[in-house]
Amino acid sequence: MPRAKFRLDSVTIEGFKGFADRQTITFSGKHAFLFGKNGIGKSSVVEAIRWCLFGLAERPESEVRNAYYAPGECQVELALQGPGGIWHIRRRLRPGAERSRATITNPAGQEVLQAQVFPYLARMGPKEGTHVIFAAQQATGRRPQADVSDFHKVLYSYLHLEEVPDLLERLDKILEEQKSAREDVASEIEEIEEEIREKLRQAEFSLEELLRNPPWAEGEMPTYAETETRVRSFAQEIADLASKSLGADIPAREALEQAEQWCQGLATANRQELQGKLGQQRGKAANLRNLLQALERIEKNQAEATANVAISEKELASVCDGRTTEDLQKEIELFKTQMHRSASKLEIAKYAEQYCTNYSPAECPACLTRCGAKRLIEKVKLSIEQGTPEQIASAEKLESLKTTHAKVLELNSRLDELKTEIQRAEQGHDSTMTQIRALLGVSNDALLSKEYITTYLSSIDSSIHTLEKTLDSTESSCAQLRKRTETFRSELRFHTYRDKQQRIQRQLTSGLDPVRDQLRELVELENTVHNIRETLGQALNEAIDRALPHLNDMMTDVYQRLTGQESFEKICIQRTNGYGAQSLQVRVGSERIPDQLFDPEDVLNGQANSALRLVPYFVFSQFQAEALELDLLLIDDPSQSFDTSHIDFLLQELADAGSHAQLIIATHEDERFGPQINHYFATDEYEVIGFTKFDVKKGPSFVVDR
Amino acid sequence: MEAQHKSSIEELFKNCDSAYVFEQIRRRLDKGERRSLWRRIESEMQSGGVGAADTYLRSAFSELVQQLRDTLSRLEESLEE
Repeated sequence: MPRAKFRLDSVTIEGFKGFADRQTITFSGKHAFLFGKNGIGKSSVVEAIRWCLFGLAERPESEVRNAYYAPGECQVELALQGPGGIWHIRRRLRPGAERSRATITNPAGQEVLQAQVFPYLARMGPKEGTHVIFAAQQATGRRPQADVSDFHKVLYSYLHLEEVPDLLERLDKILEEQKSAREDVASEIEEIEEEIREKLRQAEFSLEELLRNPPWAEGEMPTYAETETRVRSFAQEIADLASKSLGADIPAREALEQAEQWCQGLATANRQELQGKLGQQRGKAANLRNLLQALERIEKNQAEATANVAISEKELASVCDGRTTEDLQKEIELFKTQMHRSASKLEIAKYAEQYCTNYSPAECPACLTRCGAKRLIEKVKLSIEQGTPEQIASAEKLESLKTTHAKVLELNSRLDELKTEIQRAEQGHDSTMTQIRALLGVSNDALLSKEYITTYLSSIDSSIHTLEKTLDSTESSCAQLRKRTETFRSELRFHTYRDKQQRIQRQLTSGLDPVRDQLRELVELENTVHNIRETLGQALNEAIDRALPHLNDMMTDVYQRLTGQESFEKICIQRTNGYGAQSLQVRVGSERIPDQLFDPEDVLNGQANSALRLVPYFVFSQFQAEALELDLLLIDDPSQSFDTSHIDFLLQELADAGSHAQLIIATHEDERFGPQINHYFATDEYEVIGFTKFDVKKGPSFVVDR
Repeated sequence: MEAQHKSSIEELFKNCDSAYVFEQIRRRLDKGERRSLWRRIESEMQSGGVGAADTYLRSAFSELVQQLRDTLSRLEESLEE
């Protein structure tokens, strides 16, 4: 039987489990039987080799550290005899670290990857290989190592089928994920299709609304070219009106916009011009009316003043009675002189009377005429009597003259005022007429009658009326142009809606077609993968079905020899539907209970259950040893797993396995194994290592027994 | 004797490994598209194991889904015009 490429030369252990200081156990590529009492360190060796190869994926690695080892270092190093010399696998759990790290170096000391050197080992976890067996000294509560729950993996692995279920599992996962992704996309496509349909409904609704009252009135709906021609013609018409130039290549919509702007410009300009003229005419008419009214007021005042002058002049003539004011003044002065003379004379007479009365003079004191006092007094009294009425009459006359004079002055003053008023009226009249002439635009010397001015005003009113009508007419024309513009716009809108409707319809068909094609392509790929997956699953099941009868026979044979089971002597691997964890189940049966199979964990004891895991190794190692780069069979205390009454069978199986595998077997039953070893193994094929004592601080002590 | 034993056992399981199963798939997938895809899967597995085939298939699906999404995006953009 060909051997694997690598053999275990030695193991060096430091700070691992029961080991403390660094110690090396040398196997030199041979089988090793580790003998010694329980609790003395044998299992630590087996576990150290296993930990170095696989680590502890499912448990905290700190539990392998020797807590009593002061340096805190924990490492195991395997020296392997291999191509080109000694290779090393070293696993180290640094002091304080949670996870270990393994390195592999070739004989040249270069670090290499596990997958490059030990591809089979890399694929197999510590649970999958039955070549690593632990059955003894399990800590309380720890999961039993003889676990058959992943038996299907072991079998797939040994049958070299493990790629198939792996691929199937991945295909299932991909298909499941892909289905979800495809459904999401399909849902998006549906949403977009509904969105397009909604837009189509809206476009059709707009079109129907417009077609209820078509802008082209009677007849067939126009083509876009017809509408475009009409719009351009209309725009050209407006351009001509506005004295503008319409571009030859301008699109219909822009031409219409341009025409509308020109229309608005025209309307505004016309409106402004007409409103300007109207304003001027209205202002002129109002001014003329005001001036006419002013003229009428002036003329009325003038007439009233002229009449008052006549009245005053007449009254003055009456008061003066043919005299002038100067005559009256002279007359008053004359009377004043007379009044003064007579008053003086009377005054003298009164003094003379008093003198005569008092002094009774015989002669006149003035003229010295001698007439006696009596006569003198009489003459004086006569003079006083005669002078007093005259004085009174003169005073009355003077007063009357003064009154007449005052009246004349008053009338003259009034006449002056009236004349001034008439003069002002005349000036106002002239000024007003000047303004009217200016307003009418005639020369200052032109004679204007009131009738003429009134006729002129009527002509302005008529002009205003005409302008108002023109303005109304212009507004009406602009409104008509706007209406035509709106009609053309509506016609263009019809084409827009129709184009939009057609575009959306195209999106619904040719736009969505590539999406649907790509979705179909996706579904086809999905179907293809599904088909491959189904074919693969079927071929896997067929392969399993071909292998199972032979496998069951061979496993039953080995199992019987190893365990000597009589109650449930038959092993049967059952294939259920699928290919996953439950697809292959190991069952045991008995000839005594035909057609019924049992879960080993329900009916077998612990030993037989543990032995089950070793069975595939013995079966497949008969013909597949070369598949393993490192064919190492580690068995810790086989008496825990096997019926040692069948030690011969076990040793025979181990010897068969030992023809290709390197055995590392730890047992406390050295007295039962020891005598038998020589019968099955040549003496140069194995080492016996005796564990003699154990020190908590130093670790186990051992000797090589040759 | 041992060689004969091994040979006879190997004969029992000769049609039960991945290589035989994959060969069966090649024979059964008669249609061009399926066979072509399977060849590609096999090629990926030969160069990078099952993980490579997984990566290839995911990439193929992702590419199609992305193309589909791109086409959808373009269609959505055209709807907004």
